[in-house]
Amino acid sequence: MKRKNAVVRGSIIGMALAVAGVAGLAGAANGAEKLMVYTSMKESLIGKLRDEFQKRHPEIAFDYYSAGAGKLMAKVAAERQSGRMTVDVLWHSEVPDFYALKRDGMLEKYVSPEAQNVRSPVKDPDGFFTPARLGTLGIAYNTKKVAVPPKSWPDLLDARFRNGLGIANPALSGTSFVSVSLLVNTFGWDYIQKLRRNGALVGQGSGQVVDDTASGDLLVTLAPDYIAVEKIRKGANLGLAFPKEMLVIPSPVAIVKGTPNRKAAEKFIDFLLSKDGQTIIASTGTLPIRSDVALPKELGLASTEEAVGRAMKLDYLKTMAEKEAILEKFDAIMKAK
Amino acid sequence: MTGASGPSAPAGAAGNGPRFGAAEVLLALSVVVLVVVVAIPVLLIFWTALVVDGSPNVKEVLAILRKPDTYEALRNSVVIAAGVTFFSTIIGVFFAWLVSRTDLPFKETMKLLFLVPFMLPSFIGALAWKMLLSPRSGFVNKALAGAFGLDGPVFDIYSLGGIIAVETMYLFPFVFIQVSGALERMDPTLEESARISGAGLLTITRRITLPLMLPSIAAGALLVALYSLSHFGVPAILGTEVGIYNIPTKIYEKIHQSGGSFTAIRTGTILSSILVVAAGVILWAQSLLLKAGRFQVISGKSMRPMVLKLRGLKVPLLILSILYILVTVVLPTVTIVLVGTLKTYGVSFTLSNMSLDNLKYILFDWKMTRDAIWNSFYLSLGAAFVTMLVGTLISYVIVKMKVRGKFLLEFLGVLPFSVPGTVIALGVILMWSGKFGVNLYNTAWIIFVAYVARYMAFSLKSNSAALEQVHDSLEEAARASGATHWQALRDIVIPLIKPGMVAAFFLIFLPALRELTTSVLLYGPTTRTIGVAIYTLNEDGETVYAATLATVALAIIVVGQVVIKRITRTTVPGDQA
Amino acid sequence: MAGVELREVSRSFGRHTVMEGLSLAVRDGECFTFLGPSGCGKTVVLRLIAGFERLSGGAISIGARVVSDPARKVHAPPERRNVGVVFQDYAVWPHKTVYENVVYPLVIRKVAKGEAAERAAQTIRDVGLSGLEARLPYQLSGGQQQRVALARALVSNPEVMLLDEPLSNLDANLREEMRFEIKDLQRRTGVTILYVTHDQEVALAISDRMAVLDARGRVRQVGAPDTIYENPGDSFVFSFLGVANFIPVERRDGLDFVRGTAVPLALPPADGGARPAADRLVAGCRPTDIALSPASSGDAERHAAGVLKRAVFLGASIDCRIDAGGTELRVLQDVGAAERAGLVLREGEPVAIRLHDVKWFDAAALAKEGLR
Ligand SMILES: Nc1ncnc2c1ncn2[C@@H]1O[C@H](COP(=O)(O)OP(=O)(O)OP(=O)(O)O)[C@@H](O)[C@H]1O
Ligand SMILES: [Mg+2]
Repeated sequence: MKRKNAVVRGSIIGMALAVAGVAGLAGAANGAEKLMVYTSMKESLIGKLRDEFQKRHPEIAFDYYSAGAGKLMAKVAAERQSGRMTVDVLWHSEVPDFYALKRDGMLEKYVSPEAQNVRSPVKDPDGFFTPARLGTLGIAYNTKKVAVPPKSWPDLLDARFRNGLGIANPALSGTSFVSVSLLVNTFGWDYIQKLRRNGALVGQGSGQVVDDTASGDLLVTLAPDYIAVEKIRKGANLGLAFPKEMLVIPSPVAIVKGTPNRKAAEKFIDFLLSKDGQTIIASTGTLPIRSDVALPKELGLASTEEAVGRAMKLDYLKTMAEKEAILEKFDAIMKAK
Repeated sequence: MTGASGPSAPAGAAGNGPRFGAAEVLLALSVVVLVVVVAIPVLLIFWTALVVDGSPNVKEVLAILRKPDTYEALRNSVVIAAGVTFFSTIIGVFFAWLVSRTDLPFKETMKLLFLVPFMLPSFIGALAWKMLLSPRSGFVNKALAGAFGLDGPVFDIYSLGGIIAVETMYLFPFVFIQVSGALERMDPTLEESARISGAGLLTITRRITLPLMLPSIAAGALLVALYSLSHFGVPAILGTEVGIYNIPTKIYEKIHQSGGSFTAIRTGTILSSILVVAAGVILWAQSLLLKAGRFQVISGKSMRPMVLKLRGLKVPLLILSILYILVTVVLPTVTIVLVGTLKTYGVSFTLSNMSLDNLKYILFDWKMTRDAIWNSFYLSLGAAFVTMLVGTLISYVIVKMKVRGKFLLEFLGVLPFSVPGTVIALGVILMWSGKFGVNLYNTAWIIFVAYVARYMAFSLKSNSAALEQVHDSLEEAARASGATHWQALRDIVIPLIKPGMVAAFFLIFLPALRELTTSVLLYGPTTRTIGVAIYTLNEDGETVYAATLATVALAIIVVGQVVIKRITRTTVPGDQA
Repeated sequence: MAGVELREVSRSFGRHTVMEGLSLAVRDGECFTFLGPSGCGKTVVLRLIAGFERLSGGAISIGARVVSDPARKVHAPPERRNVGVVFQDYAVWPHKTVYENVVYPLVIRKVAKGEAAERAAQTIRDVGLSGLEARLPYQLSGGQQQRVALARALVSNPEVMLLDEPLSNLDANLREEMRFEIKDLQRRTGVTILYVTHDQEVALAISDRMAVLDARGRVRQVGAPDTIYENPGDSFVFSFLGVANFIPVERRDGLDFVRGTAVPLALPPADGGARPAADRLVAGCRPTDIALSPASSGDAERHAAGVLKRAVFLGASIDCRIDAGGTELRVLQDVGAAERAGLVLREGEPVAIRLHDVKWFDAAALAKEGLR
């Protein structure tokens, strides 16, 4: 009898749990206003923004999906195919993608009242997307293994970095793709070839190569500023160096066509471009797009104005057209022995 | 459940009775479930792979297969599966022999310990080994380089060899279980008679024991091959970084990077088709071997087998066994747990760098990880429950019912066993992305459907084993007592097979909780699972958080195992005649 | 209560026909036995009557009600036939106690709680299981489980009870005891019992009437046990109802000889004109219907002679094997009688044989049965 009770009790608990499970499946939050942002910004940045934004707009059920730009775009494309769009706002660093989306009529036009304050090497005159952050990439190095930090791009060809340079996979990471394009545009494919001859490797996402550098698996890598800064603040064995020619990559934000949450999307973009929003961005170690926001002193970052001045140049429309070819060429070089 | 949207059942044809009775309803329901959940997705994969614009297009298939990256993925899959199978077999057989045929001390404990690697999800193992053996920064490599003043790394885990090694560590129990079970049940008189006729132990082992064990060894080896061939986690963590792809990671790359374009999906389906065919061949070979293995070597009674005295080797072999467990289980687990407490990856393990902040962060503060844990929890709970019930239904029809058209179900029932997780995911995408009126894309339901398909085999196995124990006359006695078919099911059959159902539930719940291969292709912005979260955290360079979440996953698994032990002990009735 | 009628019942599984055109009427309130060799389709008949199997042809009625008639698309499900079934393997539910097993048919029939408990308790008492109500089946002996199965079949007062070899797994004593109890129950309750067995002893002991089936599921003879035993319709029935000696007989010069030998047969004086006219005959004879005496006792000319090849002491009787001109005969000698008459024989001794009772069979028919 006792055994039987155990069985009964067990099955009741099982049922209850299963009901909970199925309920969980069914129960999507039914907030009035919803917003889903697809972004390549890491948790350390988008998390803080979310918290602030929610404080201001508690009526909006805000959620985000953070992944590399390649993955985001694949997801968007798949959603487009399946006809079930989840994304409302897109915010990542692969600028050419925004031109492409604009061309394909995938974006809603929105000119935020804050847009007039934006300083950026790239702007969309038609207002389909707006840079919301100026990402810079520096050369992150492992402070334990690299005594003298590299100062210029040619320094990376030095024998002491042999087999020690990692670049995030440009097929996966938008920043990496634009960085490669910028370097190619400025120094030519020749430079990439030389890097490879010095044993440069392709890693995965732009975060992972930084971690690999912190752990010493790599000696140097191209690192998005705020990712490196977060780790440096936590005590990682990392340093960040910026050569004279800077990799400055604006991260545009845009509203996806046909979103039912347009109002919420606009509120988010307004917040992002506002002084408060940009202050949060600046505090994580990346450059704001406004010049009226102060940067944390201890990081030694160039100011927004200065960075825009030192930035390498790129014809994004042309780059967009050549994206496949660039990726293929890069792949071929990096796979060569 | 999913029935409403499926094609109408071929039910009218079933049964020669005057009424459309329970039997026909159950058969129709079972067929519909299997068709919708497994058969159509698989068919869609073949269709998408082979048919372009309504006509078969083999030329393009060949062209895609000849592309270097597809071709390489194929080759790597085969190389990895072959290597893992080979080493798992050697290790599995050796340890099985050690714990069942020698006087190794603490044999029973060791037998249990050798099953522990099964509990450790292999992608978490891979994560740990990456930390231990990555060329420059791996803790072990650094320690060795420091100790011997070496220049280059001693081991490079980012290699085919590394992938094979790590998979072997966690897959060899497949062989171990099969072989140690068979060794224990083997009739010792076979060996004894050989010994009486003067054969030495080596000769006996070579001429008698090994050949007799061959079917079990092969059965275990094929399980390993099947698993490895379609395994995502380890190659994804240790291979993609250096450009080593196998079929599942290639499919993942295609689906996640090429903007969901049709060529990408097609390449995926072609690779998947190859996986299905390979899995089918492996299973077919296995069923042949298992049939062949049924000759009378294995007696039901437990016997006292011939035991080899290890003498001087006793202690060294015990140490070797313990060392193996320490290196493959304890070391990675400790690494994961410790790294999970670090402030950031790469700093040294000093107390000032370690804290429980990460744990607090991922459990309470970070929505992504919290969601992932909750998603995995309810998805595996729901999938386990539903799959258990549906599996009971299908097994019941297959094992117990006499109804026309059953052969169809028997055929469909084999399908879940031969469809790898990656294939299921792709098929589910093709089926549930709006093409047939239901769009589950980006929802938890699509993962749910995939889990049901993926774990149906477990449920069928466990349930039909339980049902075969319940003699037909027990149910008929209820009918004769005046019970309707449903009442007989409710009062007699279900209570009697409950242990099998509970087993099925947990057989699904625990693996689903840490599932990666399928969910990694299906997750949406709000539907990451624990496995996906760990994997993407690692991919994003959040190594420390990946380790913390892995620690949580390991804790859940351990607790789950303990709970299973408890529950199954209380539900399995003593001695059912 | 009700009788059971089978009309032209056929059943085949795929191409394998188990029975064809089986017709039988079981009377209300009788204990009717199906006796036949293993695999002849006894279980199938019971399952057809219970409704677990469907007919391929023909019809079955219980009482006035047609329960199976495929031609008219009638098939009452088992639960609506009001039959009690006791299975060959008991089929006692392992997860229910004795009481729960027995009360289940009443619970299912929604009998009021109090009454159900009352009736279950009574039935448990009837089968002699009082005190074991709370036990689970694995705590019961085989015989006790058997009684649970019986009680469960009886408790709902079915019109017909179907018993499939319910005694085959019991030891000899228990079997005998249960045999009496079943008979007794039937007398008390008046339920119609259909009993299936391949054990002629049980069949003879328990039945009011019985049907003997052959290996192909055909009815060979129906009747009361004593009638069938005394007047077997054919050689198959004769041999199936016990050990049988078949002696090929040849008539020469008005005398009967064991065929092909010079061994004359002594036949009972009054074999009552039952002797057929055919030339090639076979005499059927039970082991107890043969008397042995030492060949030296003088009447050797009048009686057939043979040699005692082997004698096995069985307690109350001696099982003798005799070689009579190449035909082996089995003879059961009563030990007491043999001792009293000083007829204890030794192996190898020549013996005289006298047949008390003979059934005549046509040799050709016998050959067809494969009996000789
Ligand atoms: N479901 C079935 N499918 C095919 N053949 C069957 C089926 N059930 C019974 N048979 C066949 O019908 C014949 C009769 O079987 P049945 O079980 O009635 O024998 P039986 O007389 O009860 O024998 P036993 O005394 O050994 O129990 C056998 O040849 C058996 O193989
Ligand atoms: Mg039978």
